[in-house]
Amino acid sequence: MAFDLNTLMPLLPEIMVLSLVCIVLVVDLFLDDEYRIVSYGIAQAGLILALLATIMVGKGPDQTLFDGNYRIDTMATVLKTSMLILVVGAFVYAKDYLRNHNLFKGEFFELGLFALLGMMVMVSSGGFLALYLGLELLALSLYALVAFDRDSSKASEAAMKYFVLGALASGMLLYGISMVYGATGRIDFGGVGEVLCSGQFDTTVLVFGLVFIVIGIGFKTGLVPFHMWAPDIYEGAPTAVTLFLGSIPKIAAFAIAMRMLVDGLLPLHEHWQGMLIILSLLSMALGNVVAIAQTNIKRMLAYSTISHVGFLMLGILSATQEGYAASMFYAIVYALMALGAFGVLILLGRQGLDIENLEDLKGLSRRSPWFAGMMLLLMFSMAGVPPTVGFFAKLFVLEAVVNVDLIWLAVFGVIFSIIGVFYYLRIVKLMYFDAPVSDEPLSAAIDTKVVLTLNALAVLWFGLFPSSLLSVCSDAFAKVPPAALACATPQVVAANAGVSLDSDGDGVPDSMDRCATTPVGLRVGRNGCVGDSDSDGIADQIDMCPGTAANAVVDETGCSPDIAIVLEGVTFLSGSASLTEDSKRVLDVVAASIVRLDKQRFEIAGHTDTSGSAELNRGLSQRRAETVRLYLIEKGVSALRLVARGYGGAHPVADNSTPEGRRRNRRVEINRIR
Amino acid sequence: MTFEKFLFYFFAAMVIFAGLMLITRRNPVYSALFLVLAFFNAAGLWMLMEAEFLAITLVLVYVGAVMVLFLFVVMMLDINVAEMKPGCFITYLPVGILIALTMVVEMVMVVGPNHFGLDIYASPVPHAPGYSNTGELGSMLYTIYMYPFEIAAVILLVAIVAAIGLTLRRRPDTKSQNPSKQVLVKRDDRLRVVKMPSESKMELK
Amino acid sequence: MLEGYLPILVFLGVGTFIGAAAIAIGFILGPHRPDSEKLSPYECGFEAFEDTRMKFDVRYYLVAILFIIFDLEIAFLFPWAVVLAEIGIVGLMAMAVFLGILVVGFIYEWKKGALEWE
Repeated sequence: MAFDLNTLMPLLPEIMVLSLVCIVLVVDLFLDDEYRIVSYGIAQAGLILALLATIMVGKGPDQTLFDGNYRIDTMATVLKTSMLILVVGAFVYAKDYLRNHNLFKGEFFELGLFALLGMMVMVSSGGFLALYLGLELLALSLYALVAFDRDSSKASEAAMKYFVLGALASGMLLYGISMVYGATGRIDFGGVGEVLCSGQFDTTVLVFGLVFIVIGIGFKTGLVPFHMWAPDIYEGAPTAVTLFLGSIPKIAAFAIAMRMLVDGLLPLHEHWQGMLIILSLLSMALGNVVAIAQTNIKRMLAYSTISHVGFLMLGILSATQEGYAASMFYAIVYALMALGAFGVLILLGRQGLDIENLEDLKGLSRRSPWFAGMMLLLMFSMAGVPPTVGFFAKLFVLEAVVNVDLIWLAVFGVIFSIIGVFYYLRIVKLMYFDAPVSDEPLSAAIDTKVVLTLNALAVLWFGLFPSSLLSVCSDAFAKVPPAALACATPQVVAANAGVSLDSDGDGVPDSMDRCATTPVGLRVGRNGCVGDSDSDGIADQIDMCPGTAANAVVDETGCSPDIAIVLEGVTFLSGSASLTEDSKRVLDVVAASIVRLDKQRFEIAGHTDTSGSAELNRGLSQRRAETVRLYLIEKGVSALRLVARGYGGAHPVADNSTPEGRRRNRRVEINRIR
Repeated sequence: MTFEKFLFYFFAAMVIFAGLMLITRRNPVYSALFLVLAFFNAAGLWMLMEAEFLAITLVLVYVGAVMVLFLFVVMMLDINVAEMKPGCFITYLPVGILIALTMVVEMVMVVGPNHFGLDIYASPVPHAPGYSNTGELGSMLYTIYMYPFEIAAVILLVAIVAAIGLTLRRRPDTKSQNPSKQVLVKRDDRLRVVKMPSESKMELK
Repeated sequence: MLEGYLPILVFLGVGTFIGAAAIAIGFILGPHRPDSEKLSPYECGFEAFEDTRMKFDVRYYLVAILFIIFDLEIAFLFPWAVVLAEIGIVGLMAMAVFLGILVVGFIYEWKKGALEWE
């Protein structure tokens, strides 16, 4: 089996994060307590490097690697980038808290990095299996993090609840996945999508499985009525952990819903849309109403999360490109806001003291006007008050919902958001209009203050310039078809998206193509017809290489001398040596060209890819070369001038491990014999 | 009914029986042992599907290792069986039965012959005697599923870190011998010869 | 396919028979003269001091869970060993990475002292 190290390149961010965890794990073992900060430093430096790698790798093309298990696309890159940035911020906030509570251990950062790795695996998963493993990696790390403060019985209880409900959710999800696997026989999203589009499946079984998958997603993301764990865990976990699990995993939650429902099960859209409508309506209603009754600020933020996740799902269920983009925007923005809000709680905490109750925020404006201002921004953003980014996040999602004619749903969304404004503004009131309980100055470290300021200002900045982030999100889904066209051919999708149709695939839209039925593979001029498309002075009718670069030196064949002429467009029926009709048209040109060039002899070389036995391949390529030779002789080329030879897979021109590479390796070349 | 069919129904019935006993026993040790029975019968079912390697792994890992862990936990709980009242069990029983029944009915309707019958999925052809399920598994696991396989290693690593992080405690009060320290002890570490000025003779009267 | 399991069935039968027979023979042939003192539980000749059930140290649990993790790791090695010739250098590297990740875990538990019993 061939394996190309280049296929590991897109995986670089994951590999870097994994190596980083291993390094931190080992280095931390040899550090004394007073040097623990070194582990933290390594983790942060590594995260920045991984961030650079993600951006670098993200410039590559969309690919599905490891036999459909791994997928890299714009969505994955954008989500990974934002997660890495947010984890850096989360670690900065957590550092202070951990120090104040005698919890400053390497394990926090190790488990946090493991959780990050799990989320990265999830957003880049190409199949149910990889997605599930990523989810478990995230969940296991979070269970351990919640119980991180071993002396707190509250935290242990929270971890226990989280673990039991998480295991139940995993069971539900797995059962649903097994149904989908049973009905389609495929485990990768691409494969499941193919089967669904072929229509060869059992709807009952699939919908049955879909129910369990949606319940699994509901549990993991905390949608009502599967939300019971969220408030207890937010309250019980140490604030540094709540900060982590309340913010960044929401991005991953968006990703699992997208990967499973859109990448895998888009043709079942009409079924999951209904389920998600119920879940998000309930979440928005219960989350916003119950949050009002909370006095513990962590519990309040938990209910706020529930309502926000419900809101976020609105975009996905609308199942349009703008809906996905709006949801993605919402997920990233929410993670940013939640991180900042918990960051403020940590900032206000002191040695051994947690800020847990709303009372503790009283009079913050007098203790620290600057950070009261920052909290004000964050709360306004969560409530959706312009010009903060929260307003636009809600606006885009609602717009997407209205565009699919679910106006009543948008109306409910607006009503519940307005209810939600109450408890966010109550915090603002407490900060600005109530007398402080204590007037101790803030004792947080300078880096926490700087990061928090940046965090809150980012909320404002994205609010003033929302298009900067939105355009990134929209780009990620430019190629995803809308739900109704989940199984349509690319042409139909393109036509629907307002892009003109190009029925002969020659790159010239039909409206401008005067020869709309040119054979596939032939290069054409701007008018879409075969003329002299590469302007090399050799008319296309006799140009063996109609696609040479603009000012390349060519000989009489129309190709540049010295290199083999690959006959683009000459293809055979699979496994046989019979020419396809399109190939014959290409070979007519070649024959005309050769006839014109008196005396020059040519070798016709057949090549295959390396799949299958070498002997068979050689035989096949020989037969194919013979076929081409006979066809050319038939078209008037002297038999003496042509030699046919099959090389099998001995001379690849591209990587045999990718389908594209194999396609390029299956080719017929013409070489001049001197 | 062929013998294989009989075996299938036998193992399946035993799994369900063991499952029911597992949740109704009051003594958790019995529950754990019924879980072992359930695992054994599930392994039998897999064996019938010619997944020998998985069947044996199920027995080795779950019965051999996970159950040992369960028994540890059960023993650590230090439960007085007599004090365990079935109060909660009865309170939630109606709701539980309702949900369980709904699920069973749904499953029977969906995972039945209507959707997975022999007319939809042909019955599997038994493999030749030389067929190696282990080899088949291996040739998929380390090639096509290489990526999930490596993630599995990371999950095991998290399990190590989490288990140690959550349970390992240094006990400052334990007293233990360190033989290497004992052997390496020099005379100077233990014995100090102190020169003292001789005292003047006691005067005797 | 079931024919292949006949030797195993025979083995199970013989095993069950020998086990049952050993108990049965002792039960039938041994003398039985029970009285209440003989039947009461005792501990080194005295009445039992406490309940059999007692709190185990959580460290037993740690050892057990570390055992399970490496048990699972070994389960992955079997199919790999069977097909190593077919999957070639790529399969070898896949397993090397797998083991490498777990070796990091092993270093961790060793250095942390999880394998010591103080």
